[in-house]
Amino acid sequence: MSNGRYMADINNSQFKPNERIKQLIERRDWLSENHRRDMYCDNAEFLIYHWSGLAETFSAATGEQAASEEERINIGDNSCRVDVGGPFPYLDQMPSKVNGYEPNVTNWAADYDFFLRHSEAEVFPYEEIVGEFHWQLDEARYYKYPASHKELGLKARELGAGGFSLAHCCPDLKIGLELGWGGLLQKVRDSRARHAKNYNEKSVTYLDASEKVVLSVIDYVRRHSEKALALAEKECDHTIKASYLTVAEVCENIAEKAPSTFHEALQWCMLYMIVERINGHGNGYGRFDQLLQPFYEADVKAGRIDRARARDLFAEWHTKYGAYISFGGVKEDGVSDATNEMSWIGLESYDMVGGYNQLGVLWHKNIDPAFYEYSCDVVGRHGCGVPALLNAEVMTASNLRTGFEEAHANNISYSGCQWYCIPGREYQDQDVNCVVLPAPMFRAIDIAIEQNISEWSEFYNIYTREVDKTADAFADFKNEAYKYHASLWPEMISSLVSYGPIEKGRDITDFDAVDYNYPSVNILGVPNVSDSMYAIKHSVFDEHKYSLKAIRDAYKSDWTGQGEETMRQYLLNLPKFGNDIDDVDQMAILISEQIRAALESKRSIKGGHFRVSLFQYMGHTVAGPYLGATPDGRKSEEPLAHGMNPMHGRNKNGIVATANSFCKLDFRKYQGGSFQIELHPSYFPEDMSRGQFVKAFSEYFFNMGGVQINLNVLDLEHLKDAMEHPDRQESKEIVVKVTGYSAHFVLMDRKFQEEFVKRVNYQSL
Amino acid sequence: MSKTALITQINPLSSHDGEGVRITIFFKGCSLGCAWCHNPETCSPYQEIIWRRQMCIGCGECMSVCKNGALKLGGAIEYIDRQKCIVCGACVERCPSKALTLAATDYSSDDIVRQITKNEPLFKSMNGGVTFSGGEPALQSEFIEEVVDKLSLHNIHFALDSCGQAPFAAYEKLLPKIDLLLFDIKELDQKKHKIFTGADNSLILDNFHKIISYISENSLKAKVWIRTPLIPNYTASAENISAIAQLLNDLPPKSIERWEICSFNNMCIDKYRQVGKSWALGNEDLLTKQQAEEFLSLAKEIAPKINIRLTGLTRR
Repeated sequence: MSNGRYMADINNSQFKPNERIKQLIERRDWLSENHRRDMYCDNAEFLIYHWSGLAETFSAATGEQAASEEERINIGDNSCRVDVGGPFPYLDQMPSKVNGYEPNVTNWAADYDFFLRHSEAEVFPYEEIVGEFHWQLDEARYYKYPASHKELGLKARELGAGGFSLAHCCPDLKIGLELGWGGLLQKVRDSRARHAKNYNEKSVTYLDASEKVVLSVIDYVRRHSEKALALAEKECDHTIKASYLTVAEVCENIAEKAPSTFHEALQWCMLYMIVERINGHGNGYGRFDQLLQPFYEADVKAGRIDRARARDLFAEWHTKYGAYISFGGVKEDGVSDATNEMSWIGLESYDMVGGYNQLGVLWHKNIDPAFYEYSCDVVGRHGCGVPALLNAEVMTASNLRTGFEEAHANNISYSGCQWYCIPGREYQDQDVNCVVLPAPMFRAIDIAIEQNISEWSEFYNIYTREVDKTADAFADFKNEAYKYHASLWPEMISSLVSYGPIEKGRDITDFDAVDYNYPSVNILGVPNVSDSMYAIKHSVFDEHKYSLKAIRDAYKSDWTGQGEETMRQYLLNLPKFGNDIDDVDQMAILISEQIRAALESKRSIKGGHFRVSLFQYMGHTVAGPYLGATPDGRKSEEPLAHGMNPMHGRNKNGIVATANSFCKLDFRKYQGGSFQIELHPSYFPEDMSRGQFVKAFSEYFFNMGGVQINLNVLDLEHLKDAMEHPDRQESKEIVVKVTGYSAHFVLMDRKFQEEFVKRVNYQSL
Repeated sequence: MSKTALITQINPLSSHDGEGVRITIFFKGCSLGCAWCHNPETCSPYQEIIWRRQMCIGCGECMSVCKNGALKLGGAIEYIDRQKCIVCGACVERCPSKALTLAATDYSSDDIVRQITKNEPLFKSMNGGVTFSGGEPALQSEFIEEVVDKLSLHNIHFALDSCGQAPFAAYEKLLPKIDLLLFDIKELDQKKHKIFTGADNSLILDNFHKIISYISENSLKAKVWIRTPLIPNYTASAENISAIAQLLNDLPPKSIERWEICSFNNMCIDKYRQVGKSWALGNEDLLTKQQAEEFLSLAKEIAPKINIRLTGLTRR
């Protein structure tokens, strides 16, 4: 932000950045604006099915597994990888390239060890919290499941399903903060000795590999200290020199020993996230107010820190990587409020630096009302969906229903777009699997026409059978991946700070390593299928206005035939989900309950059932032409509905009606489903407190059983301007909560931008 | 038999119709005809056909059911002959794209009570309440009284948004039962008022003074907010704002709680097309922020005793 305007000024924050923080904000914004933090996926199929058939996860940015620049899609600047151009410089010397690749932990750990030891320790002027990386391991190591997996994947795709398995859980950093890297090393060695005694070869092998990984991390942390010291010696500017010396001291202190101050704890977490993300895609990182409060309290008691200094350090932390972390929630007893001073500091520091961030606030009935109002005030003033507002009560209820122990279930943390985890206790593929629900519906329609079906109930039975086929194909595909998961791409850093993997000597991705393995599955197009099924029931089976075949022929030709536009308008103007009309909302319940039951009846070979999430982060923007038009009157080129949100422009009765419809679904039965609102700034009269409005509306929504609100306050006309003039400074500054994640608007793929500006911008509600 | 009323819209999260966030109910039928009216579909007290040109697909289904030849078709409907149209609703029923709809729905007071109670937790948590607006709600004082009476135990904050052109008896009946009166004083010049709104302001000003004394003599809880629309080339003149400011400043202390000066917006142009009316202000630009603020300063200078707010849209 070269013109010297800061979010704190723009959004009336009472917390202003000091000169040092301003330097860091400028670097953050420079990195984003210059595409240094972009994240890619292979192609549109990846967004729709969460599996491209090419890469086994998001697209590697460089290397053999990278997609071409023309094909890949930029998801936005939500990566903490900082691009410096070119592939990993020591690519050819990777142990698996020199000594041969094998899909096992020993081979993987040798690569990781080499990779991390050849990753530069980065320390920049003014930083007091360091850590940055430029390449991920999948840019340098072969990452591909066997052919059998791809075969099942293509079959699943044909039936409308897909998914990958990497990260997207939430380790418990508390374990690491208590032990430090030295303590973790000792834990690995102790466990290895126990397993050696029992001749448990597999676990010993795993822990050997784990030891190698921890030693490379200790080296990596220490190199930050050495680098800072070297820089300090050459530095003449007193302020910068002092910050280098601080970094050197902090990093040396935490290279092996457990952190003992707030500053050390924050630095520990940052480097933990770096060494973990190098491994692949990211995780959630837990309840940071709970993790950091003890360190802060001890510092305050010893006179080492005050609130302003703690706020500055946390603000710096936010500028480096706006990770999925959460504040608020309940204590272990499940009732009393867990909000503490660190919750405030964490949010105040965001208020200071603003912009891109992924943090969430866990609401519950007993939450400190002042803290929750402040959270809502931050959402209202910054206007970019930060923090996400979450209903911890519904999340906990959902986990209890799934089979979690009560003591675990209360320790819920917001961990990603719309999902949540118990830190250190689960590995469940949140948000990386997908069922594309229109697919089985299309098949059911074809079959019903062939069989000349005349009753709705018969048609519905065919539909449920087809959904079940898709669910089966999906489960087969996933279970094939799970056979190879732990040996192909173990997640050894996450394993270190989870409950079970080190004790048992098996990776977090392995069978029976952590307590819970219920893979979650995003469902794409539930509102479209609900609206379509309602339209079919009404016009074909109840009113006999059109035959099923006539409707199919019309949507197959994208409504271009004679009289088909009239038919489309008729179907389009039947009642639609999202308007608080019971009849059609009941259809949405029926359709979502049916897919839920179907997936719950399938087993993962890791042990649990599959769990449905009424969300899909980006597939809706590109799926239109892939799936074609739908019987709800949607044209082929139009996007699908986003998650469980009503289809664009179909919620005509205002936002309260939409919220009412939304909350007719019982979110305790699902793994998330966020509610998206784009509010126009002119909605708020000058004397109305935005915080108070957001608080009241969100509590109304939560009391009805809603689980998550992403609220943007923006003028979509400004975004349209920004699409025309992406180079203008005011365009570059716009951050939006896209679906479950934040990004700078002008950096997103054009398709995503187009979908975003089509949303309803509530000026009056 | 419960009364019914034609309602054009119920907005459950209204932020500009009194304190807090409110549910606002728009009655059909108005006693004035302001040149700048923002809700032209509420002017006539009778049901009307709304026609959204951009949604018409030209299928001709409406023509086939219109018995009065009120619809003229080109590629799409060219126009509705409002003289011939008897608002039977047959075309609305038939229109597949919902380009043709009815302007209002007939509600019983029980229906309205249900709508209000359904939204009660929401508006109460936002320090709001219920606003009766329109159109001119005071013309439907019996209906409103029935609604308010049915909710008398709910402790709801009620507001009446009135242009002032209604029999005083209506205010006399409603004032003891409501909490806030939003009362328009648009233009103090008699002649101009007549040109702008179709009626001079004598009844309005007479009502205004009667209302102020009625509230004070009976120690009613109802607060009064005065609202003045700031319309370029109409009410947005220094003379008008000064005159209203003087009038308000001369009132006994605490007679009114607030004076809102509402800057003009042109967002309703589509609504005029939909009801088949032309609009003189369709191309009028918004006031600039500076212009609007100058009126505010002027008002504050002349009426230092009054709590004055500027609302509405200004140009970027």
